[in-house]
Amino acid sequence: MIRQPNKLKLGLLILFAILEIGALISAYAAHYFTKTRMGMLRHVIYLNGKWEKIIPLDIIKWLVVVIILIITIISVISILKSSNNHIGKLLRIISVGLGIWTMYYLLFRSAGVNRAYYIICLCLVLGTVFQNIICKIYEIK
Amino acid sequence: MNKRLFALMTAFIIAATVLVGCAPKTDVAETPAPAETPSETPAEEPAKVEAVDVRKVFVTPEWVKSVIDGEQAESDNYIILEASWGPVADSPDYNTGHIPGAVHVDIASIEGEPYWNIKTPEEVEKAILDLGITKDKVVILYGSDVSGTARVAYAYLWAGVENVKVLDGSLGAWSAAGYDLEKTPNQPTPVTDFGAVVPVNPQYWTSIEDAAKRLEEDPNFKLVSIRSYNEFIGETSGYSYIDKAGEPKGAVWGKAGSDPYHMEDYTHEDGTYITMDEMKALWEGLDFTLENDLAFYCGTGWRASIPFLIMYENGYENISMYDGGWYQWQMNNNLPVQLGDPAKGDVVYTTVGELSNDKAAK
Repeated sequence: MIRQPNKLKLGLLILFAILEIGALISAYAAHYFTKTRMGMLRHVIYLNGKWEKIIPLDIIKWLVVVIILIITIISVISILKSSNNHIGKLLRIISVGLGIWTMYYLLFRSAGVNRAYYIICLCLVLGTVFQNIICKIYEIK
Repeated sequence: MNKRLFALMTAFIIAATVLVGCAPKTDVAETPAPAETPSETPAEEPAKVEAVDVRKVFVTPEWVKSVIDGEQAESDNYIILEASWGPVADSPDYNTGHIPGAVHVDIASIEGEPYWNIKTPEEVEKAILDLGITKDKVVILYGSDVSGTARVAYAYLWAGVENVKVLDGSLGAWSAAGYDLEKTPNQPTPVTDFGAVVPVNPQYWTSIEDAAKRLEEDPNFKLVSIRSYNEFIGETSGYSYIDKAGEPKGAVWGKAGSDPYHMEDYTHEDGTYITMDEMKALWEGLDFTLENDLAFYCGTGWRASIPFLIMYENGYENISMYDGGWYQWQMNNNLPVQLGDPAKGDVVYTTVGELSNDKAAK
């Protein structure tokens, strides 16, 4: 009876860790293959044009930056508060690092420089969200 | 008696050895070892590879090897380029083994956005100079993509490189001929002066405006689609990044292959390109002749380079490339389009703007 919630917690932690790693690998793959595969580059440029026409990407970008900034600040506060739980602290540090990286990418890169910008941003945002979910699950008593 | 014979033989061997030893080194290297039964032409002597004309594009591995070995006039000033898309560090074709001395050329160095057309003359010139190419330098290209390699060859001819070759059959033919590969990357030596104003041959390039105008006004002008039949009749665009399918109104089919990435009609099973005679046979019964002014096109200009090069090699001057291809055409809603096969009388005429957006290749 006592082990049941821990099993669920462990399962969720593994699930979100896999999702996060998958998101980060996808970001790298998108970056790599747009550099090395002509078909991929052309398809990504085609998708960029399509998305830019139908989605208000600039508004979404700023919205996402604000949300990630808030999440990152919460993580920093959590790090400062928790003094004994090393694993929890480490997970939060990863969360902060990922949040800063994602915000940097969102703000200082563009589809003109990195053709896979939108795909990479999406993957990084998902990675950051998954990392924060992992932190939350871990902190559940 | 035996002693005398032995002494005579010994003396003969010593004399022969001394004479051979005194002969100049080059003679030894160039003269084949004497055969036991002398003949006029030793069977093992490799046949000398014949020189080829400047206009000849498709060359054999034996010819390329003879250039490397210093046996051709081209041996004094040449560069071998492995053509594939992307930077050298990410080129498996180059890094797994290339022809000795070969340098990688990124196909993206000669074409770019927004239409994937040949870049500006300044950009192409810079790309060429970075590889150490001048108009007089012999460029020998090879690559795993028959269309991509032809694309670079076409761009260099357009720019003004006077002697452009393509290794027929690429690396497969080279290896089949028994020649070695190397893995060490080679760096080009950039130069600063091409020796002419790029492009030297602007007539090889047809703009979308010219193509549209001549289709309407010039009955001798034929816009030849080097695309698969399904692309030609508007069943599919052929590409994941092109939503609309069809052809410019008035285009004629010149055959190609099963899809944008295969050119079965223009290549043999071993990867060599078809000859002019084979291309004439391929084009029999189609809606154009060799006397027409021919502008080849495809999706974005790769496949169409092949018939261009075959005709160029055979001395034709009534040829060009409509570089923008279907990709650029379908970006302008007002341009006229045909759907179906005009040769079969089964065709519908419309405009780009009226086309559906669900024809991208899945």
